[in-house]
Amino acid sequence: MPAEPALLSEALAEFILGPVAIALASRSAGNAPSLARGGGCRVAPDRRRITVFLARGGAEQLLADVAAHDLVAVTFGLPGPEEAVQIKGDQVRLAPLEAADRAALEPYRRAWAERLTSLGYPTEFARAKVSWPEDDMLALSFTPRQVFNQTPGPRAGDALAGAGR
Amino acid sequence: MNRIEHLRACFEGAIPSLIATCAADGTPNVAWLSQVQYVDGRHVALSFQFFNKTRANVLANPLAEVIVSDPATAANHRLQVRYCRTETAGPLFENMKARLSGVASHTGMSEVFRLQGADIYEVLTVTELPGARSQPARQRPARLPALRAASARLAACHDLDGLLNALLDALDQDFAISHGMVLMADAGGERLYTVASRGYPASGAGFEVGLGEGIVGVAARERTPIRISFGTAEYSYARAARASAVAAGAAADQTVIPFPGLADPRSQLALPILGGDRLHGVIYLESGDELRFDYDDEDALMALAHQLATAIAGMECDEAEPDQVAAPAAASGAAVKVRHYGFDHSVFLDGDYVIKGVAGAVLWRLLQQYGEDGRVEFSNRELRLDPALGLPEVGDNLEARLLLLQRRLADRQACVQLEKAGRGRLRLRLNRPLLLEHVERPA
Repeated sequence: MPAEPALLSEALAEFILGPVAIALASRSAGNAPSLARGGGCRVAPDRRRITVFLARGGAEQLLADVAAHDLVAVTFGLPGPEEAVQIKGDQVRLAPLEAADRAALEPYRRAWAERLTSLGYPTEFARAKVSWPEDDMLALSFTPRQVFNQTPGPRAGDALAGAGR
Repeated sequence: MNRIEHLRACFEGAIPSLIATCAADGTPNVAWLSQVQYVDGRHVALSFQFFNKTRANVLANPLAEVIVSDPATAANHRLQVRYCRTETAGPLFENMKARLSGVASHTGMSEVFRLQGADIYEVLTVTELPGARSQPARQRPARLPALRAASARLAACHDLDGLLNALLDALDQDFAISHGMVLMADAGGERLYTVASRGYPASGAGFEVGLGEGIVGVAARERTPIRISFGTAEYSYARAARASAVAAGAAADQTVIPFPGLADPRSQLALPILGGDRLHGVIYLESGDELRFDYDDEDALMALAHQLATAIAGMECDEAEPDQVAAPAAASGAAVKVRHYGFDHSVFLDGDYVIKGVAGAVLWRLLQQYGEDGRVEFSNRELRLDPALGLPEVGDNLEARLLLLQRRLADRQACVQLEKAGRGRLRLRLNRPLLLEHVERPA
């Protein structure tokens, strides 16, 4: 039986690996949402798993919520053209950074800082935005189930892949 | 900690914010926000532009989390918030609409962003998130010392002319704001006309704005300060004027005074001058730089505008008795033809437009009396009581009208000038004989 094609297209994978801002959400047992910023990501070669890097400090509630409820929503936004996608998924796994994660983190850091300075932010501001404490970083990997368009406009919210919302 | 006054720099729209919500079925959602507006120390408003997942979620489950970023220090703060209600009109809505317009053109989204409502949220908790900080590229000057100095300037004034000059001096020297104007409201509060300005090639005295027209008109109608931090065509007077000139064709109306301000302001701030339930006028400030005015400027300058309103109201109750002094006027040379049109009280000197409306009627009345008995000194009180002018008993803004008239005559370097002759008194200065002609309307 042929395997189902990956939910994440090559173009989408390329987009989320670019110089994008990343944020993650989950929720508690009482449906109180939790929110944290991410810093770079990695996509498995078969595009069936996404790994987002984030600092533990400040993300405690989100990490507790994904561990308890196995649900995550992640947005990837490209400033400038203001394009964005949101990917929702499950089968969440939290782990320390591996060598492959560390290898992906550094180019992202550089690209994101360059993006910010190209948009007119001062260099020092851009540097502050990408100076995550690496020993506090975690890798949150998940299986994407749904992809939504989030570029502002009437088409925002349209399902790009996976079941509709 | 659940107050947000200290986070106001995060609400300027310079960096998109984030919001997490949760559907009734427990599915989380995370999205970008183009605008988080500071409402007060315990409330924020988010722009409702499209009926999206975030909005559907908060209507079902009002809890949300927001992360805002400080554009100067890169600091992030997380706010736990609860959705309260949506406003679709009124001061907050107009405020957000104007600011969103700036943010939209800044991000190339002018065709996309359209405010449908201001969603108001109560702030439950505020948490500073760990992370590196950057030194602000520029430090804003402290506003309280500037306000104190400015306030002292106003407190030293005795008349409207002095007050407005002191205000413009204060803006320039205490707040380093070099482009601005003061528009006063007419008695009905339906129109505003420029009486004083600073930083422009032309004074623009007499430039008029209707209630609701552009940033000044909206600030006047809603009686709330409006601040836009980026350039936006939607609120540009120069562009509106160009557009209406094109629509009207070549025949420009001589009686319309052009907008004296910047063609392409990148920051705009309009502050209503409010006293009791009365709108005295609007202070309009602008700059060629983005993000020039912040929340602290708005606060400090609104305090100053309130002081100005109190001072203006005080002056109206404080007027001298008339003195009947007839002084001969030294007028020589060829006579200047003064034409007055009854239908709009516009006055032309040798065919050159000077003024219209109440100020035009006042000028005509002064010149008529001069024509009858050569009198050149008048009191505000007699004008106020003059049945030929029919001014309302209260709230006539006569001082502002006279100031406008004085500025227009000075701008035109007319053969007739008006000057102060002590408190509540004015004097005509003429250097040419006049030939008065009244016409009801143009042929």
